[in-house]
Amino acid sequence: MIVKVVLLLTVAVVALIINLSVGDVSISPQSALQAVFSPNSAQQVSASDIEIIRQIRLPRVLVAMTVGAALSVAGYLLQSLSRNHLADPYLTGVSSGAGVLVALAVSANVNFEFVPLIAFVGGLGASIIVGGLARSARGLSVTRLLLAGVGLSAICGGIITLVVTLGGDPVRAQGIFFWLAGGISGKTWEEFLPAAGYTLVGCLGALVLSKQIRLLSVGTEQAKSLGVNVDVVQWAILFVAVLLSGSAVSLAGIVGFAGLVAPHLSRNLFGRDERVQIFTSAVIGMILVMLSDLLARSLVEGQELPLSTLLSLIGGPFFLLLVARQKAESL
Amino acid sequence: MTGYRSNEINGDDGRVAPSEGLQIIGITAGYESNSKVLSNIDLAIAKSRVMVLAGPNGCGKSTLIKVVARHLKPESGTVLLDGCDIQSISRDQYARKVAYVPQSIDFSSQLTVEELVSLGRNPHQSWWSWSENHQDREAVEQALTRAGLTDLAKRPLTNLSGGEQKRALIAVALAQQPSYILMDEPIAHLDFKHQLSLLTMISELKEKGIGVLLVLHDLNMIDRIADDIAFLKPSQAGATTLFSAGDKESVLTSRAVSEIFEVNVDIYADKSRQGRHFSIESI
Repeated sequence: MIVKVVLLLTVAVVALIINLSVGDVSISPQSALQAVFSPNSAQQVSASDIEIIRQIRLPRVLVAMTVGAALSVAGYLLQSLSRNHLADPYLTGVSSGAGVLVALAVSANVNFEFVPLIAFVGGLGASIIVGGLARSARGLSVTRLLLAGVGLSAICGGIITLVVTLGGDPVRAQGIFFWLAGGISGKTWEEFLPAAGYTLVGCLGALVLSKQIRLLSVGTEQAKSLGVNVDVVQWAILFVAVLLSGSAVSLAGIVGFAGLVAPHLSRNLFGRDERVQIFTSAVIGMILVMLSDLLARSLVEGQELPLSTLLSLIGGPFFLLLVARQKAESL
Repeated sequence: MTGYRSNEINGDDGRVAPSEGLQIIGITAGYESNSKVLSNIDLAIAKSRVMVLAGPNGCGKSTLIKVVARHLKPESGTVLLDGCDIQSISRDQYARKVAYVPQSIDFSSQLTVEELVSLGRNPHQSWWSWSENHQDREAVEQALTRAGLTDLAKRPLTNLSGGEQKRALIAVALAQQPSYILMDEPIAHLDFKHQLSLLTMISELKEKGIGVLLVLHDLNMIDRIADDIAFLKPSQAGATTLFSAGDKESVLTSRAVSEIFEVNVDIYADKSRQGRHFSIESI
């Protein structure tokens, strides 16, 4: 197990270094690392390369890592909550709900610090609507959860278009649309730091809740009998999942499927311990989004594809594969 | 026949509630506000005794177990645990004293038998901590041994047979180290061999000083395992009331069975195990 985790971390570090090196201006991995860790003593690295690494590529790769970790852990929590591996922030409408308020906030020029919290409120509103529609006397129906998620996402998509178009400023409108589709280029430290802080809090929250997640995995009836306050724990898990989704949306808009793929791989590759699953989900998510971003900016020369395009192309077929494998009755 | 109250608690005679035992007092309960399933049920479950709850299908046996297990709030009435109202104590405190064995759980969980049984220690641990002390490990080991699951400890739950699943659920309850165990039809869907081995396990619980309340259907199994019996019967008004309760010999009679289940039953002496044999003659 330890070997596997070390291997995963190595892949993450390699992906990080490649992301720093590759771009319109090619910078050697050694120079990139020097620019990050000791820019003052890096005599062989040009000032412009140091600038590119420290002001453009480093924030960008850190944003990719934060988005990946946040979406993956949020997906892990939503899957644990619904006890179904087909749930993630995108499919349950949480991302879209967050997107609506973020679009409003960005249109109104709200300070970056507050954007993740505003996204949290939007995501929470969406999760309450979707959760309310999916709840039946026998518990949470996953079919209803996904259908309500799809319906709400469609409505939110309409509202976002309306908000952005009515904003009146075509340049800003274009910027918001690019951000919503997962454009993470040009992200600054000011945008990154608050979202990263909330993501860290969310990941730690998920780890603190890990034992309760295990207790819920055998069913709410048994969990209650073992002293679990099921309602409170389920709300806590939802809150943390929405906080993480909100952070991801505030940075990278509405990108799908990272929250679906990473937890699934983690469960299959890294054993049954929920703490390890949460940690490795986060790392796999980081790798997934870093590599997607690398492809997004290097597939077409001189052009940049939005992150959501790549993630949908990877995650979409994965989702369909999961649907095909999951027995009809368990949906 | 009029309803029998096994234990008058805080009754007109002014007697004080006994401080030990699980006391069900005047419980009226249902799932919707306007439809009662149970009406005014009184029962007392003592330590080191097995009480069987029996009655026709759908009469509310599981509902009563759910009320005692704190899964369902009663409309009126209280349940006292060693003299304290169960609604006034914390979930952890309650789960340290009373274990509930459900009919089934989500066995598609990825856990192993040992990991499932370890969850039984949750009421004794802090809610966020994974650390297990010596006492936790010993309790889990003992629970696995007493449920005959030592060899299956590392097996995933998804690979268990029906009988093994039931034993695993009882092992979780044992790991809680409770004073009382509630079981809802523990031998349903089991073959004869597993039914008997489960009943033996339940007898052993009693010998360890645990009070057991369980739902059973088979009269011969009831006669074999019960110390006390509580018969529930739907009344004319719809809600179920307590028909009779008390020690096995006085309650389990052919007349009671025919009134409650609307069948005729003959009782023969079973010399092989110094008990009785019940034969249902006609419907």
